[in-house]
Amino acid sequence: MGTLDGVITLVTGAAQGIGKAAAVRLAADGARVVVNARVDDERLAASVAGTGHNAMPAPCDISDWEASQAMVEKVQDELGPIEVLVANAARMTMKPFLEQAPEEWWQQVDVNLTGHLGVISAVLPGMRKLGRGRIVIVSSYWGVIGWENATGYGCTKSGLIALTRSLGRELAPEGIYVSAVAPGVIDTPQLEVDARDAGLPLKAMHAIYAKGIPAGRIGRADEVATTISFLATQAAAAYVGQTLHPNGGEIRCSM
Amino acid sequence: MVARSPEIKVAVVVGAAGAVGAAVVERLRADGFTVAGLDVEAAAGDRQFVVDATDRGALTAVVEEVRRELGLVSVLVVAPRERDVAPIGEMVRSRWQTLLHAHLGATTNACAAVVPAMVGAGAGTVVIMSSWLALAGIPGEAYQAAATGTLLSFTKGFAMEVAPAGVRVNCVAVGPTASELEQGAGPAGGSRVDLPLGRCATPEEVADTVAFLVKDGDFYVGQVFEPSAGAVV
Repeated sequence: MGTLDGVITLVTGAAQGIGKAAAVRLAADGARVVVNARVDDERLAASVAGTGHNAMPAPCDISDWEASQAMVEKVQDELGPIEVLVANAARMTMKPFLEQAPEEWWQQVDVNLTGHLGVISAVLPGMRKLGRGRIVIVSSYWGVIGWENATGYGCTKSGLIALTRSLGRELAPEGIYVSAVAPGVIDTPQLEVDARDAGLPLKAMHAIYAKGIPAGRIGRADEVATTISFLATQAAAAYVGQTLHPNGGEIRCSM
Repeated sequence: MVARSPEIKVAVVVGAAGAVGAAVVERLRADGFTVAGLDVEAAAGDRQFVVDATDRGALTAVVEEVRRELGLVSVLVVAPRERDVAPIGEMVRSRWQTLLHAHLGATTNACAAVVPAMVGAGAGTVVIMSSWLALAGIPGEAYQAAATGTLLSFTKGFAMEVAPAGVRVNCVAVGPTASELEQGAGPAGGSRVDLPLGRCATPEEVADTVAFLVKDGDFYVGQVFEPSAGAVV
């Protein structure tokens, strides 16, 4: 049916937004998708439903490395080694740097950077056993240009771009391809956080963002999912350590 | 949102006789496009045109002919392939002008000839081929880097200009290619180029990126893609 027929694929942070869209897209590509989110709730169930009930739910808080390890082991016991990882889970709390409690600031790092390191470490032995694998890391254009009131989130996202470069070099000789996508403004529930931060209604927030985008609109989660699918499949070998930037032209630099 | 993939499936590939150009022609044809292949010698394509793309008048006339024969053009790919290597200071002006015009001249001519009709139609995809040499910094390649490097910023500026009209312009930094490394760029020339895959990306893999941009690249504007198989990160 698709380019990823039967390929066991883990998507973290798949309860909403880009993660959910990626799970739906990769399932449509034929992948056997495993959807992770921090908690097992009706949103994760909706993601499973979105894949045509073809996905396996695997809730865990990825900031807890032991929990990630256990989650991956459970998946692999049931399905076999994970061949594709979409490292998407993220946490964002917007506040001025000096006003944000250090615990809250670091929680973002614990998920967005440290958490992914735990999941990657957990899936690598399986990929090595297979002799192949693909890791697609979801960064953000805020990781390239930064953003006010998003210091914690922004620095984790640039950290991921740098991680992608090094990990891409390190793992390519083993047939494990690492690449990243740094989306621009995308219509996801995350925009509600931005709107709240700016004290604006969601619609007004959309209009403000669209104004700064040469394409004249914000992006859609399924467009990012298309890039993730591209990197997870045929083009994976040519993109080693690279980051792609679907952002409607809002920024034209790559850090 | 309407997908980019238009009912109009006519593509112009400038530089169609080169390895990358030919692979792009084949890929677009496989994806259902009628492709006009332009180059200074007989090239790949459903229709082939022998033309010097650095000559704006000649190129514009050929593009008019393509439109008359095949209809509105929805995809333009420019893949210049002029290559010249010399230590800095050792390339006479005329030689440099040839190199520069093969890249920047041909690209701007092709855009000027093809894109206004895309703007009129409110849709179109343009992919400009630059080089990894514009990004990597390889000794002996400064002229090539400068000539191909112009296309990075041309892409960005031109993309901004036509994006509001629905035309998406992006760039692919091609390479390193196996033949470039054989000719001395990189390890053989004494400088460090990592090949994490132990090989270069192939022209077909470059064509994969073009196909992706044509089919699914609607939210990419002014970006530089680097399918270098990890040689440049």
